[in-house]
Amino acid sequence: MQSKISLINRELFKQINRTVGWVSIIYFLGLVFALPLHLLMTETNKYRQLWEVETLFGYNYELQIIALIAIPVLLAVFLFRFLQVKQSSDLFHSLPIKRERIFHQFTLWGLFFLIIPIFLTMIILLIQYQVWDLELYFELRDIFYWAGVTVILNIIVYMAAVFIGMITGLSIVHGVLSYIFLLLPVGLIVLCTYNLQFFLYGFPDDYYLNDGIMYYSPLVILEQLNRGTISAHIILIYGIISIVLYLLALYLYKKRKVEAASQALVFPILKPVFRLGTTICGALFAAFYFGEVQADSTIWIIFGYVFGSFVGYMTAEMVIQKTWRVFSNLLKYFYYAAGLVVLVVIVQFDLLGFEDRVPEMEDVKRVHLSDNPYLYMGDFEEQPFYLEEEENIELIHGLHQQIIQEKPEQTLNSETAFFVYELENGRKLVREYSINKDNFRQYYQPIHESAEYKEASNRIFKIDMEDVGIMNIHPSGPVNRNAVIANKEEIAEAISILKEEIYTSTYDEMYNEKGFQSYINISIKNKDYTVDLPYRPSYQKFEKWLEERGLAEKAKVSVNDIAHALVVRASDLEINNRDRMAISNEALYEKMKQSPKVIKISDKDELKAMMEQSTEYYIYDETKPDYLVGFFFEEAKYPVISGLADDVAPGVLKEYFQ
Amino acid sequence: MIKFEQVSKKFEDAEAVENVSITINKGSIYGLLGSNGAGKTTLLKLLSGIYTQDKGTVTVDGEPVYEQKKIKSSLFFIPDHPFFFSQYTITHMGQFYKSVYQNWNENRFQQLIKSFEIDPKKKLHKYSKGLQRQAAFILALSTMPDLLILDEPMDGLDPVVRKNIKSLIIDDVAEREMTVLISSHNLREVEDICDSVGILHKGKMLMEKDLDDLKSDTHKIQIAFKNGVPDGVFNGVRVLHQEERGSVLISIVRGDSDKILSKVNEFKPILLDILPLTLEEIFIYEMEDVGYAIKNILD
Repeated sequence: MQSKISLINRELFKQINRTVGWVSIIYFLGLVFALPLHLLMTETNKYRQLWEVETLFGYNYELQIIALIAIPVLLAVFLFRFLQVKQSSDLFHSLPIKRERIFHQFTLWGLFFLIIPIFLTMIILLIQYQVWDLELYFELRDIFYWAGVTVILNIIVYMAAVFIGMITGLSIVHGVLSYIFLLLPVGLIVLCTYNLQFFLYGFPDDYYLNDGIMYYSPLVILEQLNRGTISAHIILIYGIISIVLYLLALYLYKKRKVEAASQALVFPILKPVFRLGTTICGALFAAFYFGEVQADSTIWIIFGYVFGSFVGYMTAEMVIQKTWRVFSNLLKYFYYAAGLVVLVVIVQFDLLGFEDRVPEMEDVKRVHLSDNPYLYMGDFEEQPFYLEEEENIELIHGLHQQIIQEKPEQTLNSETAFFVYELENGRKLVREYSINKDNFRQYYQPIHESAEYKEASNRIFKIDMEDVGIMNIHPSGPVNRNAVIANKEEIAEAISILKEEIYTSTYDEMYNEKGFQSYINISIKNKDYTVDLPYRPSYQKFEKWLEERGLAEKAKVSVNDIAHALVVRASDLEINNRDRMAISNEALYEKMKQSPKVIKISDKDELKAMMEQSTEYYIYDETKPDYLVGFFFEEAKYPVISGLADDVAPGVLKEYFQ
Repeated sequence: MIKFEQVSKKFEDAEAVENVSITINKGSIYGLLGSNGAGKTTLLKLLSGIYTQDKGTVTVDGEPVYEQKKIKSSLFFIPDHPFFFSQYTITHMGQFYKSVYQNWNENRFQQLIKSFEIDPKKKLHKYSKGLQRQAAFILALSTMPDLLILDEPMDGLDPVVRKNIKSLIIDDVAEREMTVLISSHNLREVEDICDSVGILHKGKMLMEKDLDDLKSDTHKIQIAFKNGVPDGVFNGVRVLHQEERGSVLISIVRGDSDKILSKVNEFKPILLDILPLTLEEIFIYEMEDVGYAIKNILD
């Protein structure tokens, strides 16, 4: 009679079809709407209103994403509903079928129902592609890429949901827990990083929160499906994880007790784990939220821990006991809270020695030091720069120790100091600090004035003349002109002069922001980026070179562009500290007009002197300039507002404001 | 032969059954009695291979049940509320069971549907409770089980249906030597078909009795003597209960009736009568002996 009970049980298939077939149909309709129907609509239109896409996810992206998030979990929840309902669970487990087989049948048939809509859509797309010559918009391989990625993402989300289905006995918890499980890896990294950053001085949070973490969750990866492609090794890893989840789910299913149906968590051992996890996540999340909103205020962060852990604990209790009346069971919370306090103390008092750790000089191979972690991690075509000369390493080492010793407070004017040490043993030590560079000038000046640093940090030193496109010099300010150098030899000359200028620049000249500085950018052939550098006032040789070619006028803003200027004393303006972040240039100008003392300057010499000494004014700068100057360009309605210091201001201002 | 040997089963924090041993002979009908929450359903589900026991063994013909396809295909469990897949008719359910149970008997299935007048095209969830239970019996008996496990099968059924179902069960027991395990909270519901009963109280087995033995073993005797009851009348006889009404002594005793009578006669009573006892009365006296109130299962 073996034939009756063959490998595939038709009746079981029918039953599964009745419970989840509709999910499959909805998914198919959704996919048809998203892709083939979309193509059909544009095809029958008078003009093809199709646009070129990077991947097929580009068409009806949102719909496809929502389906990818919802469908696999929905399917798993309905598929394994039989486990969560006592009566059906009893029925299935009284049948003469081994659990292993029940699991295989259900999980694999569920997978079939999940994949079949994708497969059918793919067939339709292939036919459309052949019939309508859609090569202009996407390639044939795009269809296979789309189908493959959709399948693998569906599978991993589905397998995660199947896995969760084995540890819970409630369908709602099954659904919710599936999403939490899928987001947990990314969520934990983000929360831990943010929280460690509150407590550990020098913790490089930006370094850990890079783009790479999105691969830890298939749901987060969806966010950029329409932009980039997913690499083969990610797909391979997802495939392996799916298989592991399948085997784990099978193992748990065999261990699962049937009587656990309708309990939130099937395995008693999971209850403390869940309670602890929710308590910790609640604490981390609330601390993250209040810390971010209240600008790292310690009191708010502590409030976040207390509040978040309590809410987390209560939520876990409510889920486990399936009632909101859980207030009688608070004793355990205090145990968890005590544990959390111990954890915070360990981190806060840096019992693991994180903050004071500076590598020994002889262990260091090379060092990266910059103002921005993204220079190190960003997806530029280039490798991040490193300094290897001993003198520089010694200086950076000294700087690092000095920062740790002083632990300067973060201010609005703080800049980032981002350290990456590559050690001889192959390890890395990464730190990030907020400092005011002026206070560490004795280190920064020699480092930045060294030829090694200049060459490493300025991309102009890495340009291959073969690849150069054209050079553009953009004046700053509301003027409508720029200087263009297209001749290859001239560009080469300009580049070599600029290199010379950089070599000879002092620290102050390198970061001199005064005057209306132009920007130079050099385009690189076949690349979608340009090499940009500022045109510093100290670049005298370069200016001469431009003059010889009659480009100086076009390359810079001159006093002739300016009609007049209004000057007020900055201290006369009432700018509330709280409002500073939100005030606009126009609003600032209105305030300037209302100032009790305003002077209008039209004299060209005085204007020129002010232009050369003024700095672009950012309202959120901590240090206030003495004067605010509104430069009125010809034909501009609003002025460009700059700051000016008293000691370099023209005499007429000093007289007027006496 | 079905054997529970020192079976214990715990649910999360509560003990469901503790150290229970039961033996059920092949071809017999065993009634498992007990009030709600006594652990009856737990034992039935252990025998059906739905639950696993924490301690002890549950065997059918010496083989454990849990995860044993062969054993499980020869037994069928009908829960207290029969369950069918939603939107399924009896025909659909039949097809499903047919694909799972090796011994499915299609002829019998069709015959039973006809004789019970169940519409094969009507969805089962639309039927009343009684008809649903009949449908469950039809499906169960069509799998030709060697062991039928019934959880409160008579609960809420009217007498006609009850009689139909009982006769179906008895037929199969007689014809095919099917073994039946029935749970009930009411002795009267099952006393007429059970060969033996076990009483479960708070997870523990109180007693296990063969009903025929019980009936022929327990007697109500009325006796009276001229000069009061002499000493030693009941020596060697187990007395469950005694009360005096005037000069008449009413005793509930256990043992072989002839022996007891001849023993009592030696003392020349002026009155000696053996009166019939209902099963209910027997249980009341039995349980009094053990010290538990069993009103609940006898109401």
